Amino acid sequence: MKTNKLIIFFLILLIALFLQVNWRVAAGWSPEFVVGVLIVSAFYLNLLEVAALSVASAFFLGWRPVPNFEILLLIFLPLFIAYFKKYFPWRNDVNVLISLLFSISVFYSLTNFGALVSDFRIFSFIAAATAFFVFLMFHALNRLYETHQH
Amino acid sequence: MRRKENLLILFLLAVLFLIFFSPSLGWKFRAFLAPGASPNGDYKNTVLENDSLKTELAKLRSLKPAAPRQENLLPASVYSNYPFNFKNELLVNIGGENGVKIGQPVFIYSASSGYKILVGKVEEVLRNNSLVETIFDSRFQMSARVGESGVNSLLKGGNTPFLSLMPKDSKVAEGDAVYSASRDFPFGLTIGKVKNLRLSSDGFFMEADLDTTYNVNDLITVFIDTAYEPKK
Repeated sequence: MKTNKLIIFFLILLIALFLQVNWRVAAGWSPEFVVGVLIVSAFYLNLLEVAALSVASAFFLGWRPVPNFEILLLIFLPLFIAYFKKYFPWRNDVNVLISLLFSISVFYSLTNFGALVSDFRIFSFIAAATAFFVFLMFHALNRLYETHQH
Repeated sequence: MRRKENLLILFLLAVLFLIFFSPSLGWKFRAFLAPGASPNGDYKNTVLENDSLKTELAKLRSLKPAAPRQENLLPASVYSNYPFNFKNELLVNIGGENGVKIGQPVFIYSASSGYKILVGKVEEVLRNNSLVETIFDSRFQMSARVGESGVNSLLKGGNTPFLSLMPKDSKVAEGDAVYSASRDFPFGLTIGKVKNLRLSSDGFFMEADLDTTYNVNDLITVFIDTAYEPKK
């Protein structure tokens, strides 16, 4: 497959952003599609490409004049996964799901732990829906590309 | 390979520049992806009228008339909103320079009829912008009264805000008006109506969802009462 992986991921990111924004308008909550794309990208792209995609996501999702803690987490969690994936012991399709659940849990634990506990049912829906999206995306991309190794 | 890396670094720097010096481009792009906001700030007049009249009636029947309070409702355009779950914040285009203070109430307001509904409160004030924590934020909490008998309850924010701690034998019905009774807000501001009234899981209290009849993600203009002095 000669098409540039980064461009494909950038297009998927835009689709994920569209889904996330509109889902939230319609339902008041949404799966974390953008985080999902970033986590999958950590398994297919190199560190610099993941950084580019994460920073672009931060630009699209930023809602304050100056980036705050949530936006910094959005940038650094995929980079953390991209760097440490070589130490994960399982198959990559399992690693990607565990990385996603880890990232979403860390994200909400650090940004709104109270809601994570009191609205655990909604959190479970969000995690399950995002995991399903990530599972489909990872396997679709796996037919086209090999995962990235250090 | 080296050229590709240089291009990526250039891209990274350009996006970082945009994040810090022109974040509004990102907000505009997101707004473009999710159109459908109300075309003007005079939010659905009939919705405001219905809910506000119910509150007025409840206040008249259950309370002594309060002294009129001076208001200064400043219109504020909504630039962007919180993109993740559980929190619900709006960034608006007026701030400290316009007299906005932390804790001031934020409304949907119809200038033509004068009716208004409480949407949230100012959470953070910057020089030219403010962040509003809406009643859909899971951290939001306030005392509220329900219906013509003025039943006390606790309004807890969230994706579906709900009313709790209403005594089991209280005279509350579906559709009753819900209005503010917190020391952090002016008294008697319309918040919404009672929906899905039920017994709490422990069986000691009544609880209900709050019917707000508007979509907070649709708002493009809100109003901040800059004359209100928030309690310390």
